[in-house]
Amino acid sequence: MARIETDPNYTTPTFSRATAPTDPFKKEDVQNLAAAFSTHVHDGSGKGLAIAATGIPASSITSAMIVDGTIATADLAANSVSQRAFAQIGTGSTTSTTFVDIPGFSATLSTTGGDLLAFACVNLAMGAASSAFLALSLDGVDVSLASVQSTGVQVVQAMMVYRWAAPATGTHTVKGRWACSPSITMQINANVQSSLLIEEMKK
Amino acid sequence: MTAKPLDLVQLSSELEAAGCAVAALGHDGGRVHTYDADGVVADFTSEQQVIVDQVVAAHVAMRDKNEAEYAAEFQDGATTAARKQEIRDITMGLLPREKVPMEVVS
Repeated sequence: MARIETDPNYTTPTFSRATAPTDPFKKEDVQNLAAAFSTHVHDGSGKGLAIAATGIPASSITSAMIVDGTIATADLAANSVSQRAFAQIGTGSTTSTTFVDIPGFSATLSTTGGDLLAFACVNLAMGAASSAFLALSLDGVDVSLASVQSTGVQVVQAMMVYRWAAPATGTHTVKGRWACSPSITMQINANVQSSLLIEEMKK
Repeated sequence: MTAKPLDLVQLSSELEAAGCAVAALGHDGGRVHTYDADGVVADFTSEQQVIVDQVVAAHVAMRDKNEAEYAAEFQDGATTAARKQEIRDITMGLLPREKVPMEVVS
């Protein structure tokens, strides 16, 4: 083996060195090596090898080591903080006096342990003095959340907000459900959109 | 698919009269449907669907005559005194409102 005059991992400054016991030794080898090591860093800028990911012990990075406000959205894995699904309808009607699905008013998420939030705005056209009853269901289990009354032919609006605490990891479907007074037809107001937004929040 | 106006309560009565009684009806903007025991939208059985199609085809959705229509009739010179009194009673809530066909909304 022969001496190398420029170490491949140090460029500014560099040092030369022997690679075998039989190679000649130069008096400046130690001096140059010391000068290079004096400015040794691990940023891959020619003053030593960059630190590989495997060179950082797992669970050793803390918040104190990260400059505030420097974590970018692109650094976060998809759906790692939140994810959402949305449904919007402008039609539908029912005569049911027990809770039934509002057609098309459902949204599905595959959650991984975060809380599941739901926000719904339902716009109804009531054809007579009557009551409308509204609920949200998670995987078929109803939570009754709102009721509105009309005194005649009216458009009414109901808002629903609910939180399910950390549903089990898996696919979950939230549906809007409705029921009305006997002997009336309750309709979605076709002039405005009714909306359902569900969101998994992990942090 | 049907685009004609439907009154589901009226339709429910018509279906029952035709031998197709269901607990509730719904309409999703494109079709008339019913629900299963859990309230999930469900299709009719094939036997029911035949009846439903016939009844829907013959269905004329009716609505109450509104204030504007009664006002126009009241102000018509050809309306008799007796009819005017009847219109007063109807608009005062002493008599039920008459039904007229729903209009097709384009």
